[in-house]
Amino acid sequence: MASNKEALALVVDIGVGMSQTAPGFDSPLQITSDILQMIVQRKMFQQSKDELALILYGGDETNNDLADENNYQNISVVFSLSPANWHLFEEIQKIKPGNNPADLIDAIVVAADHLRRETEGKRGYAAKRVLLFTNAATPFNDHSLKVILDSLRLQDITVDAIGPSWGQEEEDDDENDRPDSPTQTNGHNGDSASARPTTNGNHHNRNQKKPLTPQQKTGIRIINDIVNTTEGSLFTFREALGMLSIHQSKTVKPTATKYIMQLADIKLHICTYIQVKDNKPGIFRLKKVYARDPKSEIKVDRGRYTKDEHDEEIEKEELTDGFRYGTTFVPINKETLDDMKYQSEKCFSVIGFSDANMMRRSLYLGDTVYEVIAEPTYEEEAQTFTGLVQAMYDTNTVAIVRKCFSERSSPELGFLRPHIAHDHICMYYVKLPFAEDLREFNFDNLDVIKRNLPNDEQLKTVDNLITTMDLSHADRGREEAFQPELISNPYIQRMFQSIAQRAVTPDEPLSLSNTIMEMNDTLIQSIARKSKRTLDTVHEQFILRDTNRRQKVATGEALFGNNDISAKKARLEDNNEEFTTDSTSFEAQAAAKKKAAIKTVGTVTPVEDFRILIEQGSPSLTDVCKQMCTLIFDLINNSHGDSLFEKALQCIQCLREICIDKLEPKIFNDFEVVLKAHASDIDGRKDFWKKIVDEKISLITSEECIESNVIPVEAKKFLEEETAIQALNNAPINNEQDDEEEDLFDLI
Amino acid sequence: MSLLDQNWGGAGGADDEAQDDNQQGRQIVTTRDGTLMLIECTPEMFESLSNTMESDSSIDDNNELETGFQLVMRACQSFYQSKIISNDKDLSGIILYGTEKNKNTFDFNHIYILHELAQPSAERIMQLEALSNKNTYKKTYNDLFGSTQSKNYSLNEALWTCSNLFANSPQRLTIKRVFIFTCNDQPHASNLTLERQAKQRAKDLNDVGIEVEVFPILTESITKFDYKKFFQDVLMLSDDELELRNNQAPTGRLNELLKLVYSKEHKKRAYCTVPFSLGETSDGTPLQFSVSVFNMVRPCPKPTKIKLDMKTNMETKIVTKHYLPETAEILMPSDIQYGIDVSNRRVLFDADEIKAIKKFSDPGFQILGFKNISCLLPHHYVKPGHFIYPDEKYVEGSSCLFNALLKKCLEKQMFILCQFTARRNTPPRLVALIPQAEEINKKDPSDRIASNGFHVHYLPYADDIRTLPKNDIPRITDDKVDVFKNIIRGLKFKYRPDRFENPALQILWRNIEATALNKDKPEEFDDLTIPNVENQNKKVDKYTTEIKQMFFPPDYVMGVTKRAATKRKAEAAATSTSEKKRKPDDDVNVEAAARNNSLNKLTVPILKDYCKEKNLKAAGTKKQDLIDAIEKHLTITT
Repeated sequence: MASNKEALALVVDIGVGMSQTAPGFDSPLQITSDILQMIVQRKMFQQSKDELALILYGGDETNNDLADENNYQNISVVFSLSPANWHLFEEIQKIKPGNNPADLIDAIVVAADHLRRETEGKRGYAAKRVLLFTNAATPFNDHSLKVILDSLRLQDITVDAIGPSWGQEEEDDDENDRPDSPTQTNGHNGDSASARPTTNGNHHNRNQKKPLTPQQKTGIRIINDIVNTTEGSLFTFREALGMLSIHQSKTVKPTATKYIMQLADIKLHICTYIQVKDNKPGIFRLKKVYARDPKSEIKVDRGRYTKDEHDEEIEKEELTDGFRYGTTFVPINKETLDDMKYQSEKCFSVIGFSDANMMRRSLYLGDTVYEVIAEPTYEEEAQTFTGLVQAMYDTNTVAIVRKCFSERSSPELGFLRPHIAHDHICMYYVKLPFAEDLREFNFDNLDVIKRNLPNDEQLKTVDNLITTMDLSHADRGREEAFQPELISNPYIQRMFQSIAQRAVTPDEPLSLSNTIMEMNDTLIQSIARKSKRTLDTVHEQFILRDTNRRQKVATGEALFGNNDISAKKARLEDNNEEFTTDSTSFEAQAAAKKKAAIKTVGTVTPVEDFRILIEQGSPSLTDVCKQMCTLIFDLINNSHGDSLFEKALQCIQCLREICIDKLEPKIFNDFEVVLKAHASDIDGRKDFWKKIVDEKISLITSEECIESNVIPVEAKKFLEEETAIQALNNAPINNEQDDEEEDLFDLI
Repeated sequence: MSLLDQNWGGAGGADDEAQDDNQQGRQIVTTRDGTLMLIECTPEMFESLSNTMESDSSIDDNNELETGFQLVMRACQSFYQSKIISNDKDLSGIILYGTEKNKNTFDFNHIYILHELAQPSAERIMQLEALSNKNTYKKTYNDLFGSTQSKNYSLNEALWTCSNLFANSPQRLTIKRVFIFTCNDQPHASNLTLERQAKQRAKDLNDVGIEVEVFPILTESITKFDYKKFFQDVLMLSDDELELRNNQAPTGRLNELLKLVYSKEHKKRAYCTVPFSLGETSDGTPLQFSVSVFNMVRPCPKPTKIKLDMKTNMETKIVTKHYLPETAEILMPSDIQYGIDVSNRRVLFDADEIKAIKKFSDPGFQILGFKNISCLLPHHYVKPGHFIYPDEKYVEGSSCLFNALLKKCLEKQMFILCQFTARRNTPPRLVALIPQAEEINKKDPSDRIASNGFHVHYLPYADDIRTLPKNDIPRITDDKVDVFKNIIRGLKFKYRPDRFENPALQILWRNIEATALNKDKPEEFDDLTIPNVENQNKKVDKYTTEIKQMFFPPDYVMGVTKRAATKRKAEAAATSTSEKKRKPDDDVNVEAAARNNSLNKLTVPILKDYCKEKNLKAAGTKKQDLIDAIEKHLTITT
């Protein structure tokens, strides 16, 4: 299948006019650079096959195929036509203002020529396009314009132009304009939903308002002419920035899954398409790489081991599938398993019809909404389908359906809801729960308790609140605000921005913005302003008392403490620097929360956990030490090879320190005795004891801690001697593995 | 509520704290309950059952269960089997009293611990089967417990044994229950000391939170069970409750135990409890109340396949190791970074950064505003939602404000639009809080169909909604539509969500059970999701024939895929290339938009195409120019 990629020549005026600007304003060239970077990023993020070329004119360099001594001077092809990449991105960042004359018509000719040369003989180009960035301030020669226009038309090259303004007054802020992106072609045009300009905090580009020079006027006239003739479009910087400020992930081509819908003995060919599904851009898939050498990807080995102390690896051939039946393991081989599986045919059968009002939204299940239409090639069946949709629509009914994708998959239950618009007729399919999927919660009627009954005044206040915060017509055009079709997923936006930021400036910390609040700033503020008064009344009339129970619970502080989003936002607006502080303080916050949450010594950061718990003083010292000891044994026992030994050693050292500190040497000494016994019993754990000896982690001696009754000589002997445990401590040591931990506790 | 239900007895209650732990990514606290069956083994238990006790035939298909003992064994077996499906982490055990032999830690006479408190297993179930089977139960019983029965037991000692088993339970139990199966309503009638001791012991059990329940067994000779004689004090029944008990049919609750239930039990606790923020007052005070979030509908998980070691038939574990391919060096988490490849450049993040990117705000609801219910379009759905109910534990007064919001939203037909962050490092989603009034079954006031509260309905983002081609086929005339309406009428039923069981899941459960218990065939299952086409035809045959005549040529066979696929494809390809840039229905689009005054919502290329087709001259290339031209053409003045 021929791909329909686009060949796009970015032609950029870097002449004198483009860098002239009043202080405090971004120069047209600066804005152009921003737009170009956004275009290139977008192409890369969408993994677009479109090919781009970058041609600068008005600089010092001349580098193009048409140039000779007198013609096509100061025009440079800095990036030849190929898919967008970081090299192109860097070329754009490197753009410096030039001050040589160059002809915009010549530049277009060079671009057209470059496109022709590069695409000639290759397949798969659906469109060729020149994207011209200029403010038309540089003089040019238009005597051969007619010929050039004919040639452009002949080659089917479209010319779009982007500049600060095209002679008209700048549009008002609240113009509800939603032009399609010039960088999007190939029928993605229906995408208007996501191409809406949205205020984005990161771009403070301001255009300079200055009367046009006569030269610019002429230039604009000619550009208009070119754009018109080639069926291109004119865009202002503002429009272009608006359209590009929203990152988009790769668009997915709709693909149909075909079924035969059965209703009594009517059988119809139908197609289902995914209409709504959580978009998880494939480009976000993270690869695990080695921090010290990011080029090498880390491999993962998932070995099967026996679930006992032997930790023997088991070969694939020695494994069988099975299930747990209570505590019984039921081995079932693959063939039996296949026999046991529920057998179903591919189907889409209507079980019956039900009142649409019965389909509570709370019942919806699954992660997808499908659109269902009749397969157009079967005309008669399509008519029948339409008839069914119309009848369901008129009677406000839905169809309950059993759907099964294939013989191998489990059947599911779902329902079809008819949808009719003036130019569209279809059904929507959503999955429904089976009886097993329902969880029966029962909540008391709130009115039963008098305290929960709001009085008339309170109800009136809430009524007011709803009115002031009604979004149904709160948009600029008095339309519904916050339409799902227009709100971008802030996470996707932030991820794209983070990738871009990290790619360009790898050493800088990330600045994390893009909350829904920030992205819809003006709207939220206006609603907040309007509702302030009512909220004051709510505050007066409803008594809300924080019981402070949260503080006791691990997560409490975080939940009720600093949830002050708007205040945070205000700070962010004042100073962009705050972004970074916010993200670093995140770690501090996380640490604080973690600290609050710790109740037991965990395996991830045992030493820290342990110290925190000791500091907290609860649970008791003995208990915490007990936990630590158990954990050390876990680490040793679960270590494959010596992978966890280091951690275990750290834990032991930490335990030793604390025991000295807290004048409880017996805890550690008893532990070490058990440890030694343990090490001498189980195969493969002697190596750990050897490490203890190597590290000279001895019993706590009376010199280190007055509470200890072990003299240094004894301690030394203890480490060196192979046995003689009993003699030293008189501790009854049971060598049975199963009782080990218990023994340990007995000792303590 | 079922006896299998872990909240049986009304104890339970949302276990938020456990959930909070869960949020921290720490160990999940599983709540288990423990049940001990305390079964009397006196000669009466081996008499034939009374007529009232004869269980219904669906449970006892072959008239197997002649004696009380068999019936009780079968009940225990069903209880185990159902537990394995519903919650196999729960512990249960069986203690017999009145046996010849004894087996218990204290050497009490006539008390035999058949099963210690543990998770059920296939072995236990098969043993119970042997104890209820008509042909084997006697021999099995005699072999295990001795052939004679004795009345010289002490119920006090039996209860003490139960209490002791609970005390030594290896797992922490949230609910502890003792089910006593007996046909004797006054076990120590002749010995007041023993009776007093037993009552005192029952009280002690109650004090440490062990619930006691009695299942009376009626036989030929024992036809009445009077709770007043003894068990009122054991069960601590009030006089009203006593009255109720004595009038109850003794079979009811036992039948519930006997029924095999293939259904998973769901933990009745909140998914999370979070603040709900309305905004700030003018002096900056945050206005928050607290809600608990519940999951009302979630796919029931299939039993997980495990890998067993063929040699030992024991479970195995997976050990995941990260290593470098070149050196095979095993890496620790701190050595790992995360990379994303964009155009041949690897962009790197730390694990913490990935987390930070996902974190937007602390968990909770943040109100954005209110919208009319009609703003929710049919396709606005992304994933299963939640239900919220006010929580007074963290913020007192939450219920009142919540209730006021609920009442007003119901009255005004509005939903609340919120930003919802469920977990700490989860990006926020837009949710619609749809008000739900309490609904009670009119026929049965105790049956609450829906509780009052708000449904949390996840809304898609723009990124999630795909653009699909328009499907604009000619509509059918009303008289023809009426035929379809007849079909709908004929096949209409009242949908209830609990009506259909999951065939794949039920079959798997039954098959695993059959394999584990060495049964020839699994329990039968009736799949209601397969429509009975024959029945459907009976009801709507007339109309489907009419439809066939209306739309199809006489020899047409519906639902058969045409073979001439290749030819069709070629044709389709030919038309699609010429039509690639423009869809035929764009004109309708443009004109409709013009009438609605929403031309500016269309894209420039569409407008341009339209102008080109209608030979309209625009004053310039700006969008507004195109719009002006179109509006002039359609003589719409603005």
